Amino acid sequence: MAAAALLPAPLPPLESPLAPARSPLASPRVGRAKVLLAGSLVAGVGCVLAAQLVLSIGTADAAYRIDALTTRSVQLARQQQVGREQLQVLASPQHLAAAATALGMVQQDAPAYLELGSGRVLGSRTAATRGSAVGVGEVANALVTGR
Amino acid sequence: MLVLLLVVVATLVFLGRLVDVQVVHADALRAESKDRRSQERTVPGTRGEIVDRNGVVLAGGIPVYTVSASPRLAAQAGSVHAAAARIAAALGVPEPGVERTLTKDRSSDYAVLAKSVPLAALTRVKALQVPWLYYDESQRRVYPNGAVAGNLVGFVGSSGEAQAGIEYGENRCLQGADGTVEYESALDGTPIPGTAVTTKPATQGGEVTLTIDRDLQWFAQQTLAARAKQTGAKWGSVVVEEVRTGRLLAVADWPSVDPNDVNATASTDSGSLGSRAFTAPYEPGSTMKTITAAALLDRRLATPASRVVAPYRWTPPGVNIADSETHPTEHLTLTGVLVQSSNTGISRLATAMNDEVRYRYLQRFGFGTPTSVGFGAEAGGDLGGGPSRWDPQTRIATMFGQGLTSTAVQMASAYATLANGGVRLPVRLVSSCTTPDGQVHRTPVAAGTRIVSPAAAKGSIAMLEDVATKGWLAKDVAIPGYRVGIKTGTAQESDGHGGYSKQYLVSVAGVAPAESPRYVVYVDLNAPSKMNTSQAAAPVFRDVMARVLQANGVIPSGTRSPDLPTTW
Repeated sequence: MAAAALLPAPLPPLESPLAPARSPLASPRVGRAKVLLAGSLVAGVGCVLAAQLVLSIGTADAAYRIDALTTRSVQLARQQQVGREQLQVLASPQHLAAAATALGMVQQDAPAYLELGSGRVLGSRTAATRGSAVGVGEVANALVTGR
Repeated sequence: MLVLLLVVVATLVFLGRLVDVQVVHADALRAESKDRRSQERTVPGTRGEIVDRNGVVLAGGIPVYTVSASPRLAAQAGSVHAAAARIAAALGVPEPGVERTLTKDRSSDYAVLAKSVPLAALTRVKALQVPWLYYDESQRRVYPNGAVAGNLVGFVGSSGEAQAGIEYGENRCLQGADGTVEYESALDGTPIPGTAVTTKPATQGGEVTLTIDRDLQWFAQQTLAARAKQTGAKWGSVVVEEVRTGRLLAVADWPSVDPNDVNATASTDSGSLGSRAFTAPYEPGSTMKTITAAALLDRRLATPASRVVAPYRWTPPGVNIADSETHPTEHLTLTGVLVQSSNTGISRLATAMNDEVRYRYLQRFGFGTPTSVGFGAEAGGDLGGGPSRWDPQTRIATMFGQGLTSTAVQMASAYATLANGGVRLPVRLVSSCTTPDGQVHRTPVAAGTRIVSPAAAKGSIAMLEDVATKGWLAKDVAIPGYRVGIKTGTAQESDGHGGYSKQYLVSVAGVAPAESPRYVVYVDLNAPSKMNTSQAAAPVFRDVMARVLQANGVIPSGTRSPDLPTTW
């Protein structure tokens, strides 16, 4: 109906009413033109509707995609946060000291310095031994022992 | 005509219904629709981190989740038993409990299935794609370094409220505020994308930066704890202060608290939940002699070479004092008085000073008032009410650190004043608060105050060097390559009834490198049952000071300590 309403007003008669009757060949030509016009209008409206539908589906799809990506982004941020915390626990002195001790490492708390001017050695000349080392394990960390 | 009438009537009916829906019952319908479709989600406002001077995280947070369900929608969807089994397996909780929660009240829209669910378990549950499950995020406080600085950092309660330490004291900077997001959901509970509206934005907490060095703090705690156990002490502390800035690099307490597991400490020793270095004042004993001596030098009432006759016991009217060990009368210099830690010697020299003047020196060195740190429940110590309230015995006893109280941090600060050429800097534990927008709010720092002259400070440090090289603990405190100055303390402890118990508090206060001091280390051990002299604290001082010098790349002294006369 809407398409019909958009059609232009009928064309005025080409000849006066008193003129002789139209030739039989003129009528089909005008009818075809009208059908063509109506058809193209209907097709145009159809195209607009189809485009609208496609756009609407596309927008909705993108909304879901944005939502999924936002969720994923938050999820990854949380994973990073948890991973960072695990790394911090592994880097804690309690964990490092225990790991170093397990490898047989000891701390040298009597450093030695070489004075370049005189060639003297300042400080301890002896290497640290197992007995001289500061122990580990006196400072609790539930996150290390709990893992 | 009839058709027209019908059209008019139908239009009026529709119009009436429209007004009814849009105007008359609009609010009620909107509320009902909201209840059915609108869901609210909490967006956690994360609490800020506490970091050490190098940015190492001492207190942070990890996300944990509360998983809840709508039993009504679960019942509608059917197969509750099978779903409960899958959810329970993903959460790692017993299946009957989940099913019971889901079937208890089938008309309810809210039932909590599990709290404090870690991210890994949450990911497993989400993968099940159950539309009637809901997830609320919150933050759990974690302390990656455990008990390292635990007594300073403090802790939060189970619902995240600040309870102790920096967590409590700096709560205004650290705390965030949760926000809320409203979104619409489909009938089966699935959120509809694009409908989320932030009804209240979450605010994030700020980051607090401490002056503490995490590695040094660990070392101090480890060394202190080992020695405290070895000597049978009740508690102890180590304070490391940077002389030129007043920053505290380490404040170790033993026993210490692991904020991840507060109950482990609270159940055995609730007094250890704070930092005794700030909160537990005691009679410091002989470490106070250095302060008395510095005041004498500043007033020009004595020099390091001033002579005094020091008997074992001294009994002027109303006074009866003695040294810790019997000895024949000695002829000591002021330096010798400190080396021998003679109570009678320092008392006879210090009587030359007006009591009011000495009292003011004590106050200006920071005794009697809490430090500028303002730590939770920090004590200021007690100077016994001042000279007007001192009896003759107290008047003399305050000269060598009895009859008054101070905290470990106060004593470290007093030694740092002498090490800093006589200028007292405010003690600092918190450097700054950084707000989420990146603005750094530094803790205001007051200007330094001159307490004694540079000459008096230098003279005091020189005498401390002689204590380190000639005192009875010379071998215990020597750090090869460096000039060190120390003073020991073996103080009688109050029995709480106006007298002294048989227990001692032993301590060592010292500076290094003495030719240009950069660090002060103060160690105290309370009531070491297996060794009740300052020899108990000496190895801790030596190890911690050696570590401080080594870790900060301090160049060895290259010169020898002065050799001042100690006797005459």
